[in-house]
Amino acid sequence: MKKAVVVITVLFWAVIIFFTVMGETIFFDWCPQVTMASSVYTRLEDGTEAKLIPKTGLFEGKYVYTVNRMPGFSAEICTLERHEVTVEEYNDDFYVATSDMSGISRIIGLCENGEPGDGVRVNVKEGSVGFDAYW
Amino acid sequence: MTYSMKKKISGALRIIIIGILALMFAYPVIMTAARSFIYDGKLSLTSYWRLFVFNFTYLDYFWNSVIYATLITVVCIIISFPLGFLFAKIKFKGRELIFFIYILVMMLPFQATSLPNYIQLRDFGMLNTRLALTVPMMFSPFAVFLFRQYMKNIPNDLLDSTLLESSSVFSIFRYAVIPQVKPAIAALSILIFCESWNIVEQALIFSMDNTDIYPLSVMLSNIPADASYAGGTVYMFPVLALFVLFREALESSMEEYKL
Repeated sequence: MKKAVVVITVLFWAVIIFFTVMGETIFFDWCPQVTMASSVYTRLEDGTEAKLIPKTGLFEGKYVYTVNRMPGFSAEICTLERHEVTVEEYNDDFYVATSDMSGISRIIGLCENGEPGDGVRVNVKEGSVGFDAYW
Repeated sequence: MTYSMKKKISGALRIIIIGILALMFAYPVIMTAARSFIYDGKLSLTSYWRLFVFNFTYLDYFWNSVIYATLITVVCIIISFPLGFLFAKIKFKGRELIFFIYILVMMLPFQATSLPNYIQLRDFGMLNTRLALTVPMMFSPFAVFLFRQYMKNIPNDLLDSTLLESSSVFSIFRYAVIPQVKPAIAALSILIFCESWNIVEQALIFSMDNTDIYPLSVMLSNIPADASYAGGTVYMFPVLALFVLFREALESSMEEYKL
């Protein structure tokens, strides 16, 4: 019994030390990394305002994602929420949203290191996508 | 019913009752550990992954607890050892009165001494520092009491002959006293470690403005539900392992001195 406890204790401390050193790194590298899209609007021919969606921010041809943030034990918990939209081609870098996007706040412009999905946990990188391309 | 049958039945009843009582004590520990390996109804280590990765600051508080408990245990033993010897073997005026005061202080609950401790720590500028969570606990009347009880039984002839051979107090400690009180040192180390591993009130009162130095015992309640059983199991493990590894020393010292 004592030998088993000694072995388990050694393994325990090995795991503790490993995650002490690597835990935070794994956390930030494990989740998909997203960059938010700039809020860019354009005025259409009929005078209405429409939101421009960066081409990198539209997934499967019809989905955009917003980020829900919650305070967590160690870091902010960010999860994706999926919204279905209809778009039309605008230029090389943007689509223009033709469906109502009034209930949708800032969307993600880029997702790296993984696939986005509804409820998927992500890390939000600094910076934004889209504004520079437009100007 | 024959005598041997009665004996067997009473023996069996005793085992059943003790077994039920043991299960009642062990049930929370066993359930916490068992549930830590279940996630979404399946057997897995996902709770531990979520604990160590998604809640990575858990280990910062874990190491706080390890540092405090280890430091308090080591320093307390170092301080209490010569004091126990003093009260056991050195005759001086007022010895019994001073020891009586030690016993009185030992009886006082933490709530009675927290305000004087707080005022002292504030005056020393130690509030909201790691010193506030370690220094007060390094001075333990119980440790002095236990060492004194052990050292009273060391024969004076042994100490006199060691003193004659070496003429040094440190030699007396090293060759005559320490070998005799090894079980006490082991038992006391475990008891002090367990007590300082579980500090909550001291951390909340003496470092209320600096949550980074909190021990894990205070932060356990903040762990998210999906990792709480894993967090509890990791928290319990060092103390349980210590008890299993040094159980004989603890039991023999408790038994010998009827504690």
